[in-house]
Amino acid sequence: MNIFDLEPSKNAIREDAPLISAVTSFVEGKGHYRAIVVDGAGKVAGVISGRRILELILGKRGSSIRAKKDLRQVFLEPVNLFMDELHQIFLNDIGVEAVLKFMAENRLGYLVIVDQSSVFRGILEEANILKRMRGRRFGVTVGEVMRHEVYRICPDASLLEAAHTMVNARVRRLPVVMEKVVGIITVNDVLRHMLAEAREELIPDEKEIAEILGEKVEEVMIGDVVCLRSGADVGEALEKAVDLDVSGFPVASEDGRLIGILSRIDIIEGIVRKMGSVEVVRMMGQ
Amino acid sequence: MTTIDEYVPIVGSSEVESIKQLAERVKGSKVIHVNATTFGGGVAEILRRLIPLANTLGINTSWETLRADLEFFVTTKKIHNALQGDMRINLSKEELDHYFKNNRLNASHLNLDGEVVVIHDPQPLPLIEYRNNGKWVWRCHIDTSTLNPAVWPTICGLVRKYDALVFSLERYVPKDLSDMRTLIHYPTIDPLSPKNCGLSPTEIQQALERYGIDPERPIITTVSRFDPWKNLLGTIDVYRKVRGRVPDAQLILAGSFARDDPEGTDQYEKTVDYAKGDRDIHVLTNIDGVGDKEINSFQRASSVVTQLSTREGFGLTVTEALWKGVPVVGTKVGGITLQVIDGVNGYLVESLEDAAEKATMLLKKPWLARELGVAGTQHVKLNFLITKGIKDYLRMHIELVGK
Repeated sequence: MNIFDLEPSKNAIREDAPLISAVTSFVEGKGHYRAIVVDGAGKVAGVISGRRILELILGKRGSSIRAKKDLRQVFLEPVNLFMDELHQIFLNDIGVEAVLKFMAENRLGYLVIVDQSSVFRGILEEANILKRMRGRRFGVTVGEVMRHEVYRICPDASLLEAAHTMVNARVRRLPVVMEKVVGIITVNDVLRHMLAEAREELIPDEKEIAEILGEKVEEVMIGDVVCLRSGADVGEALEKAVDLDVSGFPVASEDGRLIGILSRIDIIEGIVRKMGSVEVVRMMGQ
Repeated sequence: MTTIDEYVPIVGSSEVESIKQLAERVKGSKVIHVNATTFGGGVAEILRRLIPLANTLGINTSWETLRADLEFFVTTKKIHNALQGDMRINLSKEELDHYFKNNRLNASHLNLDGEVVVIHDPQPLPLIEYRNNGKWVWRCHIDTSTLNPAVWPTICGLVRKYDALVFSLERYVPKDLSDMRTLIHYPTIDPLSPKNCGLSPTEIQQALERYGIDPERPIITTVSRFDPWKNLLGTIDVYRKVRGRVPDAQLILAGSFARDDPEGTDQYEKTVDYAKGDRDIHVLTNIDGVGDKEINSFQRASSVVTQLSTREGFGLTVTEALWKGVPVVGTKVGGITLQVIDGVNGYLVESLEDAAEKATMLLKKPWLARELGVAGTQHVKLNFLITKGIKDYLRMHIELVGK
């Protein structure tokens, strides 16, 4: 099995493209969380994520540009002003086992594949790997690999509060909790809602954004959230992550209280730690 | 002076063009970097290359260093260790007073009048109290993932006064700073610096012979400060295990004494003492005349480089070795796991026994070491060269004062 058997995706945008094109790719359809930025020759230049866009909207990034231009103009600036450099670029001859170990060891959810000329060939994410691990139980429970420290938000909190919490905590999703888990909200949900609510133009202006961010979380959150039980095998979580194409789940007790969160990289890390990378690759190849 | 165009043969013209375009946005800005020392350690090394390059790109960049006594640096090394997770450390009122007083004295003579002022590490951190204008950035090069709770609140209070923070890895950002403007800049190396540029076989051989190292016999090298976190005694243990299986192996432990690291002498003496009686262990420093070119030669002559630190901010000496096509055996700490791809360009190990086994294997199988070395060079080229660091740096300036 080689790296392309894992079917890396090709979501990329040009570095001179306006920032709004990245936002659009995050909110259309199911939406991506990040896009690889390439130069005119197709070489990898960097990465931009939904979180960075949210940071810009909140004024936590791009402050000098925002001081001189309104948000609509900022969204027309080139992506390469706001992207991050990539430090997880691999040649296309890298083996699947090495990739697995690297992701699990560093808890990195993706890496980028290039050819000898540094031309972008694909982005390999946790989802690509999980798809090849389906149909098994691993003897590792959700409780063993979930994160106990969970950021959360109330349904009647504002979107502004949710956005700040996600940006500050460097997470892309928040369980919405009353006494029990009642929903989940993601960075992409907030961005999607902003664009959908823009009244006249594709990009909302500052005033509209302030209004939109004043709305309540419960108006935007996904209500029918799937919660996991801590005693479940990670294989069950894996199936759900692939079937539902979601990046993470709240973990709840029998009475519905939030006790943890499980993301795709937790699943991969737990399985690799339990089985060893050689055995996982053998299993993925079957 | 190196110009950005000289990097075209290494990273390509589009990368260099992209740097020039970013630089246009902040051309003419006045930027000041402040750190503890001009010599020794990774920060000084980064600044020595970054600052001239930034100037050639049209950014008016200067470098200031602290003037202080030994007592000050003893305290700041304690702060450094406390931020890196040494829970035994407590600072007395006298020590803190001295720390603040020295910064106050420095504030009166340093030029801190920049549009952007970048303060590196904890030593000059209190200078923020004396800011006149400009945007102030604290660049933390330390692994701050496990903070000493007795020391951190004092430091945190200062850090919170800055306009922006820069850490080397995302996981180093302390939780109580999460609401601040925080950027992640991975450290990088300069392939054109005297420490990393290509050398002829003759130059390498001469450097080795000057220090009594036999170029014909296998060499294991560790380059690091003389610091307890670097585990140099453990490295000697590993070497001794290896020599049981490869009797002609030699070990080079090369480092430098930095003005801001008063622990260095003590650790150096411990290391020399531990190596005593073994003529094939070469403990070498800048006092012996070991400079960038010698380090470059030692790394290039090595069959394997080991980095067995118990804590590591990033591990630029790992980056340097990989760039030179030398496989690295490293512990799973700090930035080493991002650089050493297990089984591809080196090995990640969890014990000294494991390290000895992997180092032995690489000494016994030169073809394998060569294969891993090629992958190492490629990995650094794709991920950790200074051109990426320059772009991070320019974006930070655009973020703060861009047109």
